[in-house]
Order: sequence, then C-alpha cells, then structure tokens
Amino acid sequence: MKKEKDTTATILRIQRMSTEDGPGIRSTVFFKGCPLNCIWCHNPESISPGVQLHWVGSRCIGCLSCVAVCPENALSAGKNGIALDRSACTGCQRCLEVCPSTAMEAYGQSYGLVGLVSEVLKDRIYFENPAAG
Amino acid sequence: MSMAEALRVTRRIKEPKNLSARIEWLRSYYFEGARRAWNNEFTAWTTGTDWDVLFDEMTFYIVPETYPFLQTFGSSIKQAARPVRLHPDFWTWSLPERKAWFVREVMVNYVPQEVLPGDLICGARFNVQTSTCWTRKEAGERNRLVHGKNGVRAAMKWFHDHGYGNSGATSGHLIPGYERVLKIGWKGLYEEIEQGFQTLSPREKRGRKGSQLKAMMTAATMPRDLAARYAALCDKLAAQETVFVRKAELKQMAANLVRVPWEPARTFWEAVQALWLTHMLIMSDENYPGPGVSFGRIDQYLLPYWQRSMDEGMDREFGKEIMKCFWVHANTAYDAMIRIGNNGITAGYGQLITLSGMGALGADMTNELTYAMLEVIDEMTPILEPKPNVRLHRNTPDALLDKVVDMIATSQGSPFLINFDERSMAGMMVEARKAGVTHLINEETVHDYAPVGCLENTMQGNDRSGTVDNNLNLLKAVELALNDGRDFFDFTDPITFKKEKVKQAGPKTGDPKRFTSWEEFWEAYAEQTRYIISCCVALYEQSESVRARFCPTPYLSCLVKGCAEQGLDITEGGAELGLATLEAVTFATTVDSLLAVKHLVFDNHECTMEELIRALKANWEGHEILQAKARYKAPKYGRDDDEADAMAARVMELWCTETWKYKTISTNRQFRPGMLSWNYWVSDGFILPASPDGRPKGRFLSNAICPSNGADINGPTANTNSVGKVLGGMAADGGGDYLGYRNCLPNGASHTISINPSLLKDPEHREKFKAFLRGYAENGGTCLQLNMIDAETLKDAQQRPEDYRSLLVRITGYNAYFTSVGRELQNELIARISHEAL
Repeated sequence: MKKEKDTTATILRIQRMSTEDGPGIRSTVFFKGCPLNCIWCHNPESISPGVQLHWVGSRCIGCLSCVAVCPENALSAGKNGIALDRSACTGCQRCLEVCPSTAMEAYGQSYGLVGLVSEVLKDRIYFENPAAG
Repeated sequence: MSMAEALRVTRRIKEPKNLSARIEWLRSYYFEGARRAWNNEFTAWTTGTDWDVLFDEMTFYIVPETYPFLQTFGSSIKQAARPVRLHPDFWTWSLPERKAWFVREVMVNYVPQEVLPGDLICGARFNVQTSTCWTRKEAGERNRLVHGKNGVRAAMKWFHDHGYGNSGATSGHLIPGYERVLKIGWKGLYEEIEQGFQTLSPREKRGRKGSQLKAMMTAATMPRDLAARYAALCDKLAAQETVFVRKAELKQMAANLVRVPWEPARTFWEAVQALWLTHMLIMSDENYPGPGVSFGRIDQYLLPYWQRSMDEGMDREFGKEIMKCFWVHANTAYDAMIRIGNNGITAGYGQLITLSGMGALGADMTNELTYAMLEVIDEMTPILEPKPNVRLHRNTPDALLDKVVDMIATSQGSPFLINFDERSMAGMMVEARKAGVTHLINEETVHDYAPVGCLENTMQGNDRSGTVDNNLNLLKAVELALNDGRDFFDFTDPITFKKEKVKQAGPKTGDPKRFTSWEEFWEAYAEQTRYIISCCVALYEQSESVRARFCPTPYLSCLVKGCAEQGLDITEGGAELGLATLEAVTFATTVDSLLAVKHLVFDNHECTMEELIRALKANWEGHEILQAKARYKAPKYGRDDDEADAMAARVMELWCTETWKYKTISTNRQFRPGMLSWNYWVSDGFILPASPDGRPKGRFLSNAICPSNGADINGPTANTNSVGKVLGGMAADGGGDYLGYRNCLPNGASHTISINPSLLKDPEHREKFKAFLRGYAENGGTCLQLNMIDAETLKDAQQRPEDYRSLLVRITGYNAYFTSVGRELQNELIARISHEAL
C-alpha cells in the first residue's frame, strides 16, 4: 500500500498543562520559524526556522565528547563551559548524539502531522472538561 | 526588602484561624510538646513475674529506624513498669481472657483519668504498654520463636539488611465498626457476643471459642467502666468549678458518659464522645499509638447525630468546638514516645477520616457535616491528626471541589489526601474477584470502601488488610538478576559489623554477561521477583503465626465483624475480610533500571553487560559517562511514553500476579498488592547498591507509584497519564473492573505531585486546577497528594527551623512537619520540588 506523504514541521516545544495566556488547561505547540523579529521576543530561539543546537550547563558532566566529535570544530571548552560558534555550526547534531547527558540540546524537532496530533491529544481528557475548555 | 523576602511574606506559612480561647489554649498546649507538664506518654504495667514481656517488638518490624533500639525499648519499658494486682484466678484463665482483664484493669483502675482545662471530650491518657500476660511456658516458647537462632528477629534483620525491604505483623490499619457501636452501643455488642456464647455447645464453651468470646465480653465492659470513672470525675470537677459556663459543660460531659458508650448515642456530643473513647481504647489494647486506626466515612455516620442536635438547637460553632477537642485528642497519640525526640517516624500514625465520596448508584454523599468538618480542618491546620482524606468522583459537586482547591492553595503540605472513587472501587472489585469475596464486596457495597492509614483502601467494620505489614523492594530482583541470584557484595552487619561472605540467596538465573537478548534478562528478573516475593511471604508467616498464638487483642476483636461470629481473635484471622497487603517499593527505580539495561546493553549497545555490572559495583565512580547515559538517555517511566510505560505495566503485572498466589498459613489471609512506600525509599537507598537507572548507592529510591525524581520532564499531566496506564487505564470496550476503570492495585497507590504555588495564585488558576483534578479522576491513579511549596522555602526552613516549626509537607501518602523529618528526607523533598518544571 502506498504511504501518503506526511506533512512535517519543525516544532520547538510541546508544552503540556499550559495555564497562562488563555482559558483552561491546554497543550501549547510552539513552532520554529517566525516572520517577525520583535526586539522584546521572549523566545528568540524560535525565530529562525532551522534547527539550532545549544548547550545546557546544568546537565553537562564535562566529558568533552561533543568537542571531540564536531566535524566543524564549532565547539570549544572554556572556563564558562562549552562555547558554540554559530557561524561554523552546520546543525549536523553529532554533538547531540554523542552527549551522554543531553546537555547538547536541539531547538527544533521535526514532527509529522499525524505524530504531532497524537502527541497533543494525549492530554485530551484535560481539555475536554467543560470547566477547563 | 528584597524580592525573595517579599515573596516569602506573601506566601506565609498557614496559621490556624477562628479558634476560640479554649481551642487556642488546647492546641498551643499540645504543640508545647515535651515541655508540657502533662502528656500521654507510655505508662507501663506488668503482671510482676520475672518472665513478663511488655514491649512487643514485632509490631515495630516495619519501622527499621527502631531496630537499633528494640532491645532498649523492651528493657527500659519493663524496668519502668508498675505491677498490677492480679485477680486470684488470673493464671487459670486462657490467654485472651487474661489479656482482656489486664487491659481493662489497667485502663480503669490504674491509669489516671484526667480532663484537660476546657476540654469537651473525655479520654486523655490511653498510651500504655501492658503485660503480654504470658505464663512462663508461653513466654519461653514465644521468646524462642522470636529471639532464637532462626527466630523472627533474625529473619527480619536478614531480610532488611540485605535490601529486600521489611515485614512484620503490625497493629491498626483498619476501620473498626464505629458506625455500629454508636448505633447499638457497647451494650448491643456485648449482647451479641453473649448470645453467640450461649449457642455454643458445653464443650465449645470450655474450649478456645468459648474463651475468646468470654474475653471479648470482658473487653466489651471496659469502655463502660472507664466512662463511669470519667463521669464521676466530671461530676467532681463540676462541683469544684466556679465559672458557670464551664460548670454546665462538665455536668453535661458527666451526663454524656453515664449513657455512652454503653448505650446507643443520641446527640452529636454523645456520639463524638462515644467515638473517641471507643477509638482510644483500641490503642490501649494494641499498645500502639494510632497506627492507621481509622475512622472511615465519619461525615456519613455522624450525620444523623449532627442533624438531630442541630434540630434540637445546638449552635453550629459549638458542634465544631466539640470536633476541635476531638482533633486535639487524636494528636496526643504522638505523645507515646514524646521524649525520644524528632525522628522520621513521628508523622507515622494516620488516624484517617474520610469525607464525601460516592454512595449507592453513584450519588454524591457530600453533606452539611462534610463542610463543617472541612471548616474544622481549615481552622485547625497545620495539625497532623486526624488525617483527612477527601473522596472525589465524576459527580463531585463543584462547591466541594472549590473548597478543596482553596484549602490546598492556602496550605503548604496540602491538608489532605485526595482519593479517587472510580479507580479505587475498580481495585476493590478486582480484590472481590481474586479473593473470592464478591458476597461482601460487590456493586451494592463497594462504594462504602474507605482508606486507612495513609491511603490504603479497605472496607469498613469487617476488614483487616494488613496494609503496611509487608514492604518489598522490587529493585532487589534487579541486583539478583545481575549477579545470578547473589548479592553484589559481601555483607557487613550494620550493628555488629560482623562480616559474611556472599551466599547463593536467590535462584540461579544465569550469568547475565552471557545473555544475548533482552528477553533472557527479563526472564531472570522475573524469576528473582518471584523469589523475593516468596521470601517476604515466608517472613510474614513467621511474625503472623507468633502473633496469632501469643498476642490476642480481644477488645479490638469486638469491633470487627467476623471475630465474634467465628470465635476467633482478629489476630487469628477472625475478620470477615482478612487480607495481607504486599506493598511494593522502588517501582519507578526498578522500571527505569530495566529500561536502562535494555537500552544500554541490548538496544543501543552503549556498553556490554560486563561494563555495566562493573560500573554498578564501582558505584559509578570512573564510569560517569555511562552513568549520564543511564540517567539521561535511557527511556523513563512517567513521561507518558507508551514504550516506557509498557515496561512499567509489565513489571506491575508480574509482581501483582505473583502476589495473588499467596495466603498466610496460620491465619488464612489472602495476599493482595499495593503501592505505599512510607519512608523506606530514603533509608533503603543506603542499603541497595547502585542501580542501572543511574542512581548511586546512597541516593534515595523512587517512592510509591511516582516516577523517579527528575524523570517526569513532561509535567503533571504526563506523569498522571503514566500512572493511570500502569494501573490498567480504561477498558476500551466498556468492560473494566468498575465502569470502564481498571485497577490492578486494590490497596491503591500513593501518588505525590509537587505544584508550584503560582499555579493556584488566583481564582482563574484555581479553575484550571479543578480541571486538572477532574482530568486526574479519569486518567490518574487511586489517590493524589499535592505539595504546594517551593524549594526556596524548604531550603530556608533547613537553615532556620525555628521559624518553620509548623510547616507541613507531604511525603508520600502522609504529612509530616518538615523540620522533624531527617536531613536525607528533607534533601529529597527539595530535590523533588526543584525538578518539577512548570
């Protein structure tokens, strides 16, 4: 049977149990890629549509596997932790794969429409309550 | 002031409110603790024989913190004991008759009766350590069984110190037939027992059955005789009293006690007085302060008395005043070992009251007394006992839900635990089927279940389910599977430091380094799980059989249906519903460990089995990268991830199925599964070695059915969904155990979620939170407790405990004063709350 081509999108985050800026309990889907560039943007990492890497210091164990594996030498270790040279980074995500503690994280993940909807509907019961909306 | 200080001021620790001078005094007096001149500390009473034993250490086998002190408690209690003049025929009677007589003699003629200033309820002192009343021969036999070479104590120590968990036949943890005794009085109970005695043949009358019933009749007169003493005391105090209002109160209290609890209660004041006296004497009978001896659906059975008194002109606030006095009394259970000081067990008692919930045909049973009691709780909080539990269901009225959410929002360690009816009842229906008791638990009766202790679901008035008697670390099976049925390390006794080489304890399930597939490892784990369950069952049989032979509680037996009918003490298995609950501990750690083994060794080939075992034995030192992968890259339970949750469900199914296979031999009680982990997951974290989920030895384990700390990165709804799934979720076809709900744990499972206070900061947010609770009722577990606290406040409380003495937090299924739990548990709570991302 021929598989239909699924629509995909780059999703920054699915935030479950969102309680702010709207009624009831919701699951908020944050898409990556914004046509605006507001100076007060609270999520500047969502402006670019492409996947971007970033380092989460609290999870880093200092093994330097990421530095060793980067084919573009975009990562370096210093006294402030791991620094990422965005002009060199191609987003190949090899650092993310090799990091043992998920300290290298990607902003943006590709979801198919079907997968995204099923993920969001996991909290259906919390939306469907008449009081919640 | 700084922002942090400003925030602290707005989130003030909750204070009691709307208390009369009388209650204000009583409550403050109670909280003076060891500084009080009066307290309800244990008094000890002996037959005077040199072989007498008072302290029954077996009842504390489920409190490992006391192990180093068991010998001391036993000796010092005996040393401090005062002799009781025995009836001349004492030693000619059977053991239960001796016991019943002795406890009554102590409570009526030896322990002083006192009335605290302004108190409206009599029954102040009830904590006693009474002689076990054994003959020299009985004592010798029992001591051999407990202290001998392969005795219960040695077996218990082996089990615990090797990391299996703990087990012991312990007191309480049931709902006595309070509703009935208020209705027909102790006079009615006595008559029933006597009629039962008269139907016995002459031979039976002279035999065990006859002895038991005679003992119960003796015990049944204890509340009457004690009430008479208190009535006389109140009369005396009234005569001396100059303040008119107080004089009238004391006269009424005397009048109450002339009637109740022997006669049926009529007014609310009589009912509460009868309830208190009946209840406290259970603690005297069992020599154990308040261990889950629970009141059940108190807003239901006290309602007729409340309504009658209200109709007769009782002031509503006075009705609450009576209840507040009752509240203070419940807390004095903690005076038992008041000078021993703060320790992790001082939250331990759990005299539960249950409010609201479903009635027949799904009707909601919230009533005016429910709301009055909620007000009492609100006004008295923070205070530990009686521990309130609110039953929610699909048709819970909005007004109740509003009140509940409001109270949670303004109290840090939420004043109560929330029970979810449909899921809970589904579990009870499973029990009915598996234990063959559908004539007792069925669609007509199951709505009258109620929790005991912390959250353990049972029926009322006829049920002892031994809900904290067996606590098993599922994780032990992982260690054994990783080492072919042997501990990782040689053993060193923690008290004597005696060393012992590793033994072949479990079955030989194969060298895991030779396994080529995940299924092989799973099979090894499964077999070790069956082994550890059998160990626990065998250990329980030891203490249970000793208790059945040597430790009758004839007074308590009067209050549990089935005992008089069968002529059996409750300790002999006399209850109509007799079960023994196996509470599994370390569930999430175990699931995550299995997930890690599968992921690291078999699926992703991050390491060999040999490397993993080496890393675990080294406590991850030198293997930090592998540990990080175990902690962060392996799948985890609690994220609403179907694959991980499927492993969790598989683990659950395995141990539950195995548990149902067992019954106790001496007392014919059916084993059933539950998930309540008390505080064992903190201390046993120091015994069990490093686990494949990335946890090092010395770090706490998971608690109850909660995901591991930090694992639930997808928030409370995902956490909830995972819990509901592993209990059984919903039946798609409309089948299910109750309506569509499935629940494999009739006992229920403790589930704690920490919520940032900002989630309930205003009415709009509270509406959302109500929606979460309604969603929980569909997707979640049997009960929920919420910690409404932030890490900053807890850290501050660690630094300045004197400013936070009444700060309550929820641990797992129970509340405790934060400043009184041990440092390790405090740190775990802080870590737990810091991880919750919102």
